Amino acid sequence: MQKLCNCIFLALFAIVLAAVPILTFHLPEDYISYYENRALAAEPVLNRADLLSGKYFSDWDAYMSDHIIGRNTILKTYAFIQRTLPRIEVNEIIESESGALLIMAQPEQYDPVEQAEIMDRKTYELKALANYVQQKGAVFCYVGIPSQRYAFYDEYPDYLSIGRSLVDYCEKRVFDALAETDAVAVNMREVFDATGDPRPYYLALDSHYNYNGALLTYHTLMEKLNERLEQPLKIYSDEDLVFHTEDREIFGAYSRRICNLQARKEYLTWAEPRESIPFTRTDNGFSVGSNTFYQPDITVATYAGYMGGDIGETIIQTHRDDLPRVLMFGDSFTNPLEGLIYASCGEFRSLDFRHYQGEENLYEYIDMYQPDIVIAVRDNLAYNQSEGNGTYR
Amino acid sequence: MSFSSPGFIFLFLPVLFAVYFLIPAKLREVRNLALLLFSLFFYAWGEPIFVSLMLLSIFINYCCGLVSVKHPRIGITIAATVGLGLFIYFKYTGLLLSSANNLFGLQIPVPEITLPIGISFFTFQGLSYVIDVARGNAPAQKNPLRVALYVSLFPQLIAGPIVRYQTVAQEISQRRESLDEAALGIRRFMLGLGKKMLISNAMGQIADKAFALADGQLTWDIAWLGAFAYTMQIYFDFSGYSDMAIGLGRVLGFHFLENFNYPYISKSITEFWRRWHISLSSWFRDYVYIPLGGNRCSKTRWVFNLLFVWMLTGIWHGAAWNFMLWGLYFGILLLLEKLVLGKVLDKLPPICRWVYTFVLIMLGWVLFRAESLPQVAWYLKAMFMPSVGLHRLTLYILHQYHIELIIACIASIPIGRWLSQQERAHGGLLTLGVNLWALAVFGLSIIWMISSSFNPFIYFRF
Repeated sequence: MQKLCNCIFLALFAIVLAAVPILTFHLPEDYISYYENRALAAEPVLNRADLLSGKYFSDWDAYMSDHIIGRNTILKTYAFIQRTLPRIEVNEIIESESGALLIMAQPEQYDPVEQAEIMDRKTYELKALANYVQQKGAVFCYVGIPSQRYAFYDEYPDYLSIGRSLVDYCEKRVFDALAETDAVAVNMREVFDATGDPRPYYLALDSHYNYNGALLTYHTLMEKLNERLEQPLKIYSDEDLVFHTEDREIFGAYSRRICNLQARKEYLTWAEPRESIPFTRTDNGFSVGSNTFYQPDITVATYAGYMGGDIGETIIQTHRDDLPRVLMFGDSFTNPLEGLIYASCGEFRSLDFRHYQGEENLYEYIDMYQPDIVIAVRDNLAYNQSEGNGTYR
Repeated sequence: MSFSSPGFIFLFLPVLFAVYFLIPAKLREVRNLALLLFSLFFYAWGEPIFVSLMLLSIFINYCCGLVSVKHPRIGITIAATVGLGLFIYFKYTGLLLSSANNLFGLQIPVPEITLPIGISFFTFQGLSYVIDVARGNAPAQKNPLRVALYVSLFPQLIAGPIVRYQTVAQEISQRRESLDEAALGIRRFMLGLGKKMLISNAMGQIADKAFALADGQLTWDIAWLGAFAYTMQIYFDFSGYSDMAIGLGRVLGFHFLENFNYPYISKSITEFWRRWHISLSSWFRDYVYIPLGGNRCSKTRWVFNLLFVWMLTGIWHGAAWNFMLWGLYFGILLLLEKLVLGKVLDKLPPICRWVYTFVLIMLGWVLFRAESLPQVAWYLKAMFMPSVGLHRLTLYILHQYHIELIIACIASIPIGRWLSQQERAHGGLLTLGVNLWALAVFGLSIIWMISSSFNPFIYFRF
């Protein structure tokens, strides 16, 4: 009996050992790991340097790990097992009692002196930019938006609290600096807090606000801008908009980490003016369809649906020369706003310097474009950061 | 190449097994040649340029083996000089030069020398061959391919166990692979992989978090938890690797000696070292301690022999002074047990002896794991400086890893073996299902391997 069991066991093992590589190399390969949001390892190319250093072979390990047959099922099974076990986090995602997914962030640890120096520099640059825009005869508007983790701050277990003294300090420095300029300052943290509960304005499965949050931000910033403008911009109310909701649940930045196995599901909403505003759109210099919402990857619904995701330069022309020229720059929080603001502009441009392919810096772009309004959108985690949209010159 | 990599399991192993078992068993030399080529390829997978170093080591040991038949001292002297010379050059040059610079205010440039993987293991195996031949414990091999196969045999090549020549001398030329042995070997491999992927890696994550805390951030609770986690990590990592090596050896017809025997149930440090890394401690005992005179000499000389051997054992593990400190720590503990503590321990209840041993082992692992001597000091200080409340990391770890911590505790004692014996005595139905258990562990290990990026192997760096 034991011998038969051993035979079956060895046969099974041999089948697995043979089948996995054969199927792995004969089935079409994927290039992107959707759950991990990264490119998969490319097949190693043999060259002398890599061979001698051992990199060639270690690359094969990475390739095999990335392209093994049934990889997505394996990742899903892992996430399923981990979620089934009584754990506090799975793949660095905490599932709170309300079903919200929170990122496992390190608690704030910082040197106050160093941060003060950083913020001295950042606020100096910010004030310089605001003054420069004003000198050019334009209006500068700065919008600060809390990241999702701060909306759901109280849902973290006490022992995983991330702390908010640094983010509060940076926020204070930024808005104190803006108060010394003529800029329109919009601190959405205060606005969301004033609602009593910021959570309904945020996606529970992603790091961004939801469309309610974007709409509230849109209304707040447009109203504040209009206080400054001689000719107010049209602000689209809910009645002026047609709302749509995606059929497919969103694959959020956080839900994808647990393979979308969470109980809570969310769907993306977006809106467009009830009265159609014809426009043309170019992305990075190439003409694209006149859409403000489309999924770049048709297989899944993600936050990239807003404006098709993060794009270096988007130009929307509504060909109404009596309306202002608006330049907006920032990270992904700008995307749902863009699909609303453009409707009030003659020309609307959006820059994301993380992906911008042109050679101009922000100052040069402003010189070149001569906008009437410049809107900076920054999330509160990035107030003290200089990468991407944090560098102006 | 690591055993716990998809490349090894799904590329190397299938091709090796296919080629090896397609060669008829009666063509033993052809099988050996295939195994040798695969072993060299296995080594080359990680560091191709060092294959030449290993071949040089094999050649020297082969020649010295032949010389040792008639001139044992000459053979051993040459093998030891060249083998240990290379070993010291690659492993300790940096430490020696930087220490000399610090001590004497010199400014000798310290070259960055890459440590060839497994050099500590294949150097000792090569020496074992020459010494065994010189002592007449094994015949000299006239066929260099057999010496090459012994030294480079991939299952134990890069992380042991240190297989002595006399253990496998006969099996190199005459061994018998069988279905039952292969099943046993594969089961052992799977369980070893499970130890590594499912327990050791989780413990490693805990230990890394604790040992990453700076002086001032560390409190007693997380310090003890980190030390415990590292205690478990190193056991399951190394014993898991040994299980995989022994298992693969079985599949290929080799019978390597056991390397671990539930060391954490020991009730004295002396017992611990009879159960931990058995192949290393017995190597030092037979090839260094006893030739130095062992305990059959004056008391002073015996004390010197013991401390010297333990200093070597410590420094063998890595080119850093904390490893030497770790070796001396155990040398002194063993001395104390032999001179004073042994009699006291005998009078204590078993649980007290176990607590005494386990705590000292954990403290030893702190010396071993710390990145520097200052870290040793602040870490140990934190362990014995009570503070109020629990560190947030302790709470996180207890919430996140409590299952792995419990499993580690259970798996580190022979309760599974005992249950299996009991069950076998009552029919053994579950024993028949041992293959299913092994397959389940293997499946989980593969899932963990593909899904988790944390997969270090501690003993690779030795």
